[in-house]
Amino acid sequence: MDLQDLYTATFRRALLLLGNRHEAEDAAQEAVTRLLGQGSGTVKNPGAWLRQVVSRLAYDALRRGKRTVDLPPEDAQLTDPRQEGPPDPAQVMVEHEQARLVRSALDRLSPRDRLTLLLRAEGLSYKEIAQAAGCRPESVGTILVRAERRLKEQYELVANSPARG
Amino acid sequence: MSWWLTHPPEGDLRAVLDDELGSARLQRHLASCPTCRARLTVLAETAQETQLLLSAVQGAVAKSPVPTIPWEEILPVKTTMPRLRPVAVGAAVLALFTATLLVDPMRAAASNWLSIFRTQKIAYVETSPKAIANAIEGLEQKLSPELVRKLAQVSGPEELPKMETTTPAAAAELMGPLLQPAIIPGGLPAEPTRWGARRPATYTLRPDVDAINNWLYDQGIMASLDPKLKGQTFQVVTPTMVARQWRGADGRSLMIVQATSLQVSGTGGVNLSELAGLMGQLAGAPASVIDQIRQIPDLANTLPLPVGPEMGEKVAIGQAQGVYYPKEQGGALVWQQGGFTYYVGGNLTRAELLAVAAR
Repeated sequence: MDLQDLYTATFRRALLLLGNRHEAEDAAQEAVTRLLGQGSGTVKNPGAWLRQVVSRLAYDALRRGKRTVDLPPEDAQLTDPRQEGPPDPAQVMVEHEQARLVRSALDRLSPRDRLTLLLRAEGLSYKEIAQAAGCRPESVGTILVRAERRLKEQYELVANSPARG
Repeated sequence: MSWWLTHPPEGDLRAVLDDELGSARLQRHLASCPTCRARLTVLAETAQETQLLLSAVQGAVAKSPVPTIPWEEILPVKTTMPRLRPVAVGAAVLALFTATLLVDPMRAAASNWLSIFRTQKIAYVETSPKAIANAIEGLEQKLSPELVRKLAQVSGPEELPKMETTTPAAAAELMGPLLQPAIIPGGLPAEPTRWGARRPATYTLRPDVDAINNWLYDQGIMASLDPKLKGQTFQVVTPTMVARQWRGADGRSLMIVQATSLQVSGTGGVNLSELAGLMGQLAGAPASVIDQIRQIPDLANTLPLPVGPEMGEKVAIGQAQGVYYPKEQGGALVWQQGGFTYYVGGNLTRAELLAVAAR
């Protein structure tokens, strides 16, 4: 795996957690820089190491709270650039709008709720989530239950508000 | 897995959905309890709805363009960046150090008071109860006595000494002159109703530098111990403590704790500022707290104490700087003077505690 591949995976993890391209670029670059600073051969599994480090960096950024929300967060280009033929404009709009609403709802959650939900959605174990969120693995279930309820509430608020988020 | 009497808490049920928990007891309960099976169904529905919502964001991220970084231009610069290389003395010392830096002083005074080296003064560190609670939780999760023994060769008593009931004469022999309360607030007996003491214990540590570095790596902590620490031995003497308690008939109480400093020897060349940074990262302390601790000029002789809104308030105790920590009922004062750390607390008013501590 070359450096750009590692960076791509790291950037995507950061973007998912932060929802802001500039912040995601900063976090991903910081993580890769730290990896390079470790000296060759020190880190056994750079991919796993980077994902853990960038999750932590993203969580720190969320907790610092100086968040600039840039919506649409994931860039306007939402259809898969690899797909064949021109994208269906109606489909693009629907996907885009849904992602924007969910992102608005996530932005209203606490950093820990948000991190826990997204890392779980990415398939991380409770132990890995606990490590990133700085809590006990036994607490992850409780945090998830509450975070899921809050996300649902916030999504309904955002989706039903006249200004739509 | 939590302990429960009638029905398991939601968090445990949620974990069952993710195959994270499945104790025999929980499974038996689910098999026989229609209520909890219904609760589980509701949780499963919410989890599914959540996954559906989040998949919209995941899909958008997966399709989002990724910047291309000109690595060739960056690499030479990045590789020359200084590497954070804290010098440390083994996981056991690390644990003790962090306990001093980040543990709630009231909790520490009551059970496990620890300070580093020979502290003579205090420094204020602005923080919040939440940050401290997070740090304690982070440490409890990460550092256990078993782990410490895996990462360092430790010889000394199996368990840290405990506070034991003692007599005034034995306490005086252990500690020397004790802090005399300036007054005894009304409603309390003139003499302490209970005396406690904790004897010092001596530990010898030989850190397994490679094991510690591997462990730090596994924790995702971007730091490592200096290889020149390999084969070095350190001696740690835990603090001596004397506690006196006055208890009145109406439930009012006063506790005065006096403790010596933790002594660490054989630590020549330890960079405490870097060590503090490493410990802060380990505990998951906020960057602002780590920075403040690292900037304390004379860290080896300074006990950092947390202050801030809802936390502690800076106060003067005679010539010494101290902190007043309000509690649900009453509060506590902590300060350092003449090589001792003092704790004066109880369910008394702030003014009463300050009057007791007045020099």
